[in-house]
Amino acid sequence: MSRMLNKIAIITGAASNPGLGYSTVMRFAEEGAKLVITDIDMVGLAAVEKEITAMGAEVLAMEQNVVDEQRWQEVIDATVERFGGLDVLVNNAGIAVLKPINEYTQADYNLQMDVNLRSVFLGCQKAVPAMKDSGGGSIVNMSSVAGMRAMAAVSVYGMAKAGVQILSKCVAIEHAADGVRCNSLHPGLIETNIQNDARRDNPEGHAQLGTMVPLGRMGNPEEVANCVLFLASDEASYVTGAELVVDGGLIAG
Amino acid sequence: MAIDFTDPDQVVLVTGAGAGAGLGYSCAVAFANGVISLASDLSSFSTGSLLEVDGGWNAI
Repeated sequence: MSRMLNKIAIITGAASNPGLGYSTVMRFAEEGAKLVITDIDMVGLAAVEKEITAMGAEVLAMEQNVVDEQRWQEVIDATVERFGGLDVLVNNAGIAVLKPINEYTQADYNLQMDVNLRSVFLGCQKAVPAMKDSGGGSIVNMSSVAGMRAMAAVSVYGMAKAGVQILSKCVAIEHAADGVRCNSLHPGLIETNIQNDARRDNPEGHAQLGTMVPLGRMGNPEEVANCVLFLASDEASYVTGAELVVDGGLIAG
Repeated sequence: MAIDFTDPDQVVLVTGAGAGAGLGYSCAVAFANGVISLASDLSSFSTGSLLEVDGGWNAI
């Protein structure tokens, strides 16, 4: 499998397993990518690094708080120094602070907007010059169906994810002439560590979630990773400024 | 893990596949080459969605 053969890719939020970043790392490794994986969880990241190294992938693991602008530049510079360029950025790192509007603190708001939106802006801003130097590239920004449909208790999360959608379109338009594509991906209910926590806290309520989905189940991270792979690869060479929904039909109605 | 369109057991119907420069023809070739697509299991949790393939035309 060589859809990403020798492509140099940065994936943020790569440590959480099961998680979208981890699954994307695995798929990219299977397809021959050279990988820069980042996270704030260095213990988890070391485990991922070990796993994909054993698969034969070339990998650089870096600690990164995605809201730190200077660290973004350091990650980009280290990528170019190690691998000679940058072809793909997957802005995956994110958090979910879900509560009613009147329960949000300013700190909740700032944290969620920083991690879920400002970090994506920084990633795009810092990655584009390196991609231009590489002759073009592809940015995949992880949004959510919560950025496309209003739901209870997801106000700030949804605001940030909606911001990711329009940011992605703006990057696409601004840098199409540079050969840089940028798209957003919108997962629905996916079985990640976030859902594992929700299941532990409310098993009955969580069990009903899958019944909301037309396909009758929650998705798994690999199903999202496959779509990230598509958008990142040259097979999506004419897809930019678009959004790909991966939700089992949740918001089609 | 994915549908392998080169697998002889996979049956794919592509209509309008005769024109050499057309989308149907290209789809048939892509399927034969195992390209990722909305038809494959690689998009197994994507349904009821739309995917624009327009070079950014509709993003403006």
